[in-house]
Amino acid sequence: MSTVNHDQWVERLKSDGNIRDEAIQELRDILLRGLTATCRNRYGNKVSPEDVVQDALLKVLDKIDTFEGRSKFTTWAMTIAVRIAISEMRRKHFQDISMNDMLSDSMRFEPEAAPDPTFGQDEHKAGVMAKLRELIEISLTDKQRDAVHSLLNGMPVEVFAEKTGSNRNAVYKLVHDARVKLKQGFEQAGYEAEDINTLFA
Amino acid sequence: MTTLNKEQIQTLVGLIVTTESDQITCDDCFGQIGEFAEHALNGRELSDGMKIIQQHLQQCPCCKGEYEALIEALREVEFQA
Repeated sequence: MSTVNHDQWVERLKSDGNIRDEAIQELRDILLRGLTATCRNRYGNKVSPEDVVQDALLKVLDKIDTFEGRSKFTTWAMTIAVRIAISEMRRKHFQDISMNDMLSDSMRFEPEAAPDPTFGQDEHKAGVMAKLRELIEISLTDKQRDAVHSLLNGMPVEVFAEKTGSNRNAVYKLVHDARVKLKQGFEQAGYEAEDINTLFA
Repeated sequence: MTTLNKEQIQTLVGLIVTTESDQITCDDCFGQIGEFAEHALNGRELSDGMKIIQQHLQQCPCCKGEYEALIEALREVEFQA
């Protein structure tokens, strides 16, 4: 990692001519190395780090005045670059998948009674499954069921938000509130989290 | 109705039983994730502010995935304190 301190990075990137060009090239090299590691083996290798690094540099330069020095400058820049890369990977990975594919025909979903011989045989476990089904049906809103179902199908909240015209913070809260409702529902029915976890481990 | 397979049920149960309060949003987390990553890479003790980030990462698979990618990237560029 560069030994240039963050004040120097900001100063160099905000200057003119060769000093700025050299700083940009140096930062580009650092981000590209990090992104190469990040893009490897994630979401089917559909994003090239070279394609991302230019967008990342532009965003870093655009936001440079918001850098507060809470971390090293290069860490801050890498944070922006990785967010861009992961978002692009997720977007490409799910671009051909419609919400209909994710949600099937349901605005409701039902845990399968006995997906394999080890499931649903035990009476206690069957009781938990029945409670889970009931809580999903009664406690959750349609939007919460959709969001949870998409999450269980592997779709990140970020992608769900984009496909439903919402935003990441709102969808995260939607899912988190659903989890709280389900947990409280189990607790009110006398089920301890630890016991449930043991049953399904 | 759609049915959930064994893996999805296990994931859902895991999400339910590990649910804890979360005081911040994904955007809040993103604003401090660089500092949190440096704490982790340096093995520093977490302040109360950083513990809130840790709690969000435990609750949010999306942010956790980005955090893990960031750690990987920082290690690649030979992060040093």
